[in-house]
Amino acid sequence: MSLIPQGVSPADFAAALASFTTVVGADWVFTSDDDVGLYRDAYSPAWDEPQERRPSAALAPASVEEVQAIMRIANQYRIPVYPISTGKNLGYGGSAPTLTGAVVIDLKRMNRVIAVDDKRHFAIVEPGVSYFDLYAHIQERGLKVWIDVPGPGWGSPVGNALDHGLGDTWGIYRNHFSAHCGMEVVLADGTLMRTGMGALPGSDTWAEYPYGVGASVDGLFAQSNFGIVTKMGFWLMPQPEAWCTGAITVPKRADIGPLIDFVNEIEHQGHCGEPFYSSPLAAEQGSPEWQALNAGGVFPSEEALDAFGAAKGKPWWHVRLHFYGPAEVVRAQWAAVKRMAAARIPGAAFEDGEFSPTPLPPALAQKYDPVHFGIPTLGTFALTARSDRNPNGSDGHLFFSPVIPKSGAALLRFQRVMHQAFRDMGEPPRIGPFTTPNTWMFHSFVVVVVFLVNRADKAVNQRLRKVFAQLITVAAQHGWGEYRTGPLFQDAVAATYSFGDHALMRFQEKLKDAADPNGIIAAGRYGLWPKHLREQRA
Amino acid sequence: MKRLILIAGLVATAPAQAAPAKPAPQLVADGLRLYTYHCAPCHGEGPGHPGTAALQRKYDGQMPALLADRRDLDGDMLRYFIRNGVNAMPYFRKTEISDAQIAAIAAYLARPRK
Repeated sequence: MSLIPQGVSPADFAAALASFTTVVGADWVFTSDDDVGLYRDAYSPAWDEPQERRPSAALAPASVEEVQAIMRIANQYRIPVYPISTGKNLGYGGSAPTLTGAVVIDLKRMNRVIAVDDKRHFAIVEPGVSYFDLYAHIQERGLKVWIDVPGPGWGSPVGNALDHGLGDTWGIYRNHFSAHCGMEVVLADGTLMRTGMGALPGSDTWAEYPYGVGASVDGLFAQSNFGIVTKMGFWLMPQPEAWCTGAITVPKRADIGPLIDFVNEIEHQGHCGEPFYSSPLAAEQGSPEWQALNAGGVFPSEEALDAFGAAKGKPWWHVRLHFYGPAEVVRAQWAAVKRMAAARIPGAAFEDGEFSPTPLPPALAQKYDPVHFGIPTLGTFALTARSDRNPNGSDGHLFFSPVIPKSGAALLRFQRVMHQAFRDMGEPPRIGPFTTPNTWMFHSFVVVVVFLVNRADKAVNQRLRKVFAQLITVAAQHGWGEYRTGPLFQDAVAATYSFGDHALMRFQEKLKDAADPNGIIAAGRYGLWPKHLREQRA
Repeated sequence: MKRLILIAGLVATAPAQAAPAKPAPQLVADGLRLYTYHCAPCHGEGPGHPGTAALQRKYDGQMPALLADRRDLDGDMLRYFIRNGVNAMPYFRKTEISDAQIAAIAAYLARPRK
């Protein structure tokens, strides 16, 4: 054991570990360097540097009662703790605590699927359940519901929702926190609390009506540090009878405006699932014409970009739409979309896509990405793994992911501003004319830039951290804020949400001081530090 | 990192070794179940499996890209990669895979084959 928590004496730490051992058993208290090292962020952009956040120990309780007992002990000895679900938040901090020296509470052993109801369409799960587990539970029982999954299927529905994770099926299910319904939470003093209808003894609508009565406090437990969530309900999508897809293309740069406006309208009315935007011209970036146009890394004029597209004979923008529902309806929805888009978007062209009853044949699901059908995979790790594009592989990735408005004008402005931000730093622009938004959020876009990290090259990681910090600043100057980030950048990101002289953070600090007076839970998470550590905010 | 390179070198050049003792069928069955759960989502067959694609890129046919086809991954080797990770593959904690479960996966990979 090479670390102990800041401000805790070695004797108190040893006494706390002994008490933790009586609660969870010696097999589930990890203190050796090898075992504790498994709780480092495997994708840390500060690997083996002083800035890397590292835990001092880890505990793995098997029950709510054990979590409660741990919190009572942690309060007694003022031990900072950091709960994780499955610890797979890779790219956003992994399993590492925000505060170096915190003791990780690993909830992986709490892995029960409490309920899945395919008539009322909900699930209740513990934090250690993965998307793979929940999917298998549903498939093994032939239940007629879909889950909405993020890229990595080994993540936890609870953990993902609590970090505001997102998915790829139908609008209201893609925002995993807003699709949750009801929580069970262990508070700092070990009190067990349930929210919404769960607070009503005997209620069986815990995962169906989120509010009960009074203040809705669930948001305090996401991207924050007010308690340890031990159960969570989620609304699920009934398995649709059929699916079909189709795509719309538009020829010119400015056509992205009417295209997005139109797709917003049909999506927000509930006529399609997640749209997927791309630029067919992105494949032409290796062409001599593009190399000439882009000489010196400049962002060409809109007129020059349109001329480039015309010369290549490809449209600037493409959007794929997914339709879910009764067979007749999905076909009719696509037909209606074509009719309406042809009338409203000059130059729109259409690609009729495939149709299938559900479940789709595996090869067809793979063709369009299984996540669109609620099937968990690990396919997203192709971003980082060794490939023709990345012949040596990388040791992880880091996501820059600001929220921008769902409009063509905003996208085109974002492209130019952030492209210039890279150039101002002397960095090759990672955002440019071909950048398209991710559409996981229902009412906004998020643009995700993937940076690769390298454990063996500290200089690369140090430069990456500087670039990342500057991107946060430039984006915020234009009103674009990160929706999620890892511990190294949480102070910086939280500080950008500064309206009213940081009124939001000051309010959270008041609540934190009242709800967790010893400041033991996840200190520093998303910039919220307990009183005794506030001066060390980055 | 040096240790990782050394181990990777051993993988690439592993000489013929004495055949392992015949694993108990139950251990192999457990290993298959664990392999299917923990390894196959990334190291399975066909598109959508970045681990398999990465090993194809790395070995270019000199070694099987599919882990289930490998014969050189004994328990120690397997434990090294699972507890240390490699490239995009993160390490796995003991709450995810125990040492005994790693041994079962190794038994599955060492199963008798034609």
